[in-house]
Amino acid sequence: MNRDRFIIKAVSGYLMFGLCWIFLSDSLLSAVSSPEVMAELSMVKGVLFILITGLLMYFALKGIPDVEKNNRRSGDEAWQGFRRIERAPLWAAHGFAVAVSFGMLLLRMKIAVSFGERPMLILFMMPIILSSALGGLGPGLTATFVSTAGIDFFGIPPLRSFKIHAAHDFFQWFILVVSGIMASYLCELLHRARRLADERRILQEQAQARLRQSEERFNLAMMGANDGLWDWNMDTDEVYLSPRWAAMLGYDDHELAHHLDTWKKVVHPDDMQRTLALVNDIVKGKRDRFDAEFRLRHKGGTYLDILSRAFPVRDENGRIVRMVGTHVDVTERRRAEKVLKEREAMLDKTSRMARVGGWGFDVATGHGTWTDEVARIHDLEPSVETDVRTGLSFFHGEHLDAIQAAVRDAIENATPYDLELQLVSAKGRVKWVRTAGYPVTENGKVVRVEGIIQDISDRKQAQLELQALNMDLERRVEQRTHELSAANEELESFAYAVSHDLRAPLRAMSGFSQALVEDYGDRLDGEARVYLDQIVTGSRRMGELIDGLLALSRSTRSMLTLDRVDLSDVSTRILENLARDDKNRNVNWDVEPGLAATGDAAMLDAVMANLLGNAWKYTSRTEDPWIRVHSGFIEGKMAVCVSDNGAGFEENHSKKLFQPFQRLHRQDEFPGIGIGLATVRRIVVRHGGEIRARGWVDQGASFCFRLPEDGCNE
Amino acid sequence: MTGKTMLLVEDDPQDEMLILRALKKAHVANTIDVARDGRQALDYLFREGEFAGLADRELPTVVILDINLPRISGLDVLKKIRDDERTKTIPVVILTSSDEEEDRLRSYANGANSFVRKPLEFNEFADKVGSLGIYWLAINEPPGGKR
Repeated sequence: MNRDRFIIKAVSGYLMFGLCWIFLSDSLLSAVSSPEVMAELSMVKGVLFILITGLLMYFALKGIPDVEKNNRRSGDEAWQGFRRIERAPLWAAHGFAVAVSFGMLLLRMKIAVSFGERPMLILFMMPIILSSALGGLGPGLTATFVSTAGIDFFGIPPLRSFKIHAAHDFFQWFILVVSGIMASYLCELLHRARRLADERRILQEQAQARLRQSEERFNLAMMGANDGLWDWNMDTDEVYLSPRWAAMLGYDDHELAHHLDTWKKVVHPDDMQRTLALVNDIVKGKRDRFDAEFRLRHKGGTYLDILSRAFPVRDENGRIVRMVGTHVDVTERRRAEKVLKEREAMLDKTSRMARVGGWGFDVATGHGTWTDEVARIHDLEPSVETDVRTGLSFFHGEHLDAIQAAVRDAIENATPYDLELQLVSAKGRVKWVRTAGYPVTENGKVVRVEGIIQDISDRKQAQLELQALNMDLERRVEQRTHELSAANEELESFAYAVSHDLRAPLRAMSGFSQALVEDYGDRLDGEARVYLDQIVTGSRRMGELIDGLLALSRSTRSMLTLDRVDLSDVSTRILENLARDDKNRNVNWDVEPGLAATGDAAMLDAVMANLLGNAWKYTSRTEDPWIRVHSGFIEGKMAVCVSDNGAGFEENHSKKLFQPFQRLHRQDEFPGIGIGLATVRRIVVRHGGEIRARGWVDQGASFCFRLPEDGCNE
Repeated sequence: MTGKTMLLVEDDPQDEMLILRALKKAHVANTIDVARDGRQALDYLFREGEFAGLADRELPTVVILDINLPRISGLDVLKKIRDDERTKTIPVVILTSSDEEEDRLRSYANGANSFVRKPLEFNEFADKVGSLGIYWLAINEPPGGKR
């Protein structure tokens, strides 16, 4: 559009110039009288026209505005023609002014033939304008001076003199001088204006370049900081949202309208009022900075924690017109903070429950830190800072000596420690603590000691109680043992008394009966003798009972000496003795070789003697009696058995057998006192073994016993 | 056999009677003095207390000593006998109804010359006591020779 306008202007200018030229020059030519001169002048006029119009065309073509050029530049178009004339160096401009002026002077001389003596002052405006256009005021004035002086001297009567006679000549010359000066001055002004404009333009370009750089820097900074940018026009509620702002919420730049509503749509409903109230405070001047945290909904639906900082922009009246701010995504940070806080709380809880805390101090300064629980153990308000001296001040006496020695050792020799000590808390409570320290070395030097302290009062108390309980228990066991051994001793003396004191009267009974028979037998009749015999028999039986009781008692109280006893050997010897002492009987007996047990030899002897003696006795009424000593089993374990085919017993009486003085047979059938098997059982049980009896009436009996292999007793 | 005496220390009068009868049946005619407890036995041997008047009498040739005695036990009496210069060589025979092994061992350990268990059977008892009297009073040569 500008281009079209310029073309129209240039063409109409050309038309005006051409028409003026034609009419003016022709009217000038009409003043020439001679046809020859007229012809010559016409030619010169044509050449001049070509020259001037060519020059004008050159400038016009150069001034055509660029199609691509920015619209804002259009205002400068008026300058374009002029702008292209570079200001020449001053000497050249002056030279040019002088030369052009002389040239015009010469031309004037030449055409003086046709124009007569008229000075043709108008011609000299050309060199003046050209010179001043090229060089400004100075060359213009030079051209003015040269032209006016030259024409005054050569062209205005009187010729070859600077004097001017005719008033109208002087007037015209004066007009020329004034016009020249004015033209020069105008050109100078134009030059200055142009220079100023150039300077301004350069400054502007520089400023723009700086602005561009600054913007780039800002964008880079924003990108680097990963911050979003917003610029809220408070009048229109239009909000510029930077691409990063949108990207933060998962949107592309173009997806979001640049309006406050966009923010209102994505902000968490709970946060909107609070945030807007903050803005309101700023508008009202209650607060001068905007610094808020709110949640914005991501495109994916989740909420992000956004930290926004902004400042208000005021107009010249101080009214807030814009707010410009940033967005920082602090979701991760907040999440991490939350996790950290949770873990800290968890740790504190654990600490409380375990009553254990951590501490550490620098060796160089003695300053350190401790956890809340450590402070609580000391009955102090939780604090972060502490020092070694404070830590040690709660120990006293031997406990202080121990902890001091341990800490010194840790610092000097990098030796860790782990002690259980007593401390007195700030509230004066005595507590047991476990305190452990671990030296931290740097370049082989202990720079720090870190450790834990744990309240173990409960455990310690329980431990102490347990110890007391154990001691009490031991004491009681000792007491019981003592009582038991006293009781045993009593029993022993009782048994002794029985053996000694019960026998004496028996002996007296039988002895005096005997003496009566011996000394006065001739005076007694048969019946009296029978009665006396009964006294003797009763005494003997009583003696046997006492002996049995003594054996039973002895089997309980005498010491056990454990040996490997060959029961086959023992049995064989006993049976041989029985056979030798009772030659009237013919018993078929058999002993399995290699039967053995671990136990007290004398007691096992008594066991076998009792069992075999019983077998011998209870087979006395059997035809073809036999006795066998053999191996057997009790509940799958190896046992030694004595079996016979004698009188036997009823199976359901087997338990009774082992009770003292319990007999299953009449005295006149099988005499006995009923204490043998009780003794056997007592011995077996004392050895930690067991015994079983099986019997079949008139078929026989079998007694099996088993002792532990290792001879474990009592 | 005259001059040889025996001290019987026995607290049970029935046993005492039976022993004395058995010795008589065995034709032991020697004097037999009887002490009824340990204290009395020691007084007799050391001529003290009630027996102070017997100072000029000879000590017995043999002492028959029961273990279970009132006041001072037989073993303590034995120890005192062996501890005293006057009596330490006197043969001491332990005659007891105890069959405890420990009593036997301690008797010998304290210097008893013989240990005899009182049998329950009267005949056996009479035989043993008779032989005992004959052996120690007639057969055995006492350390001090004939006094």
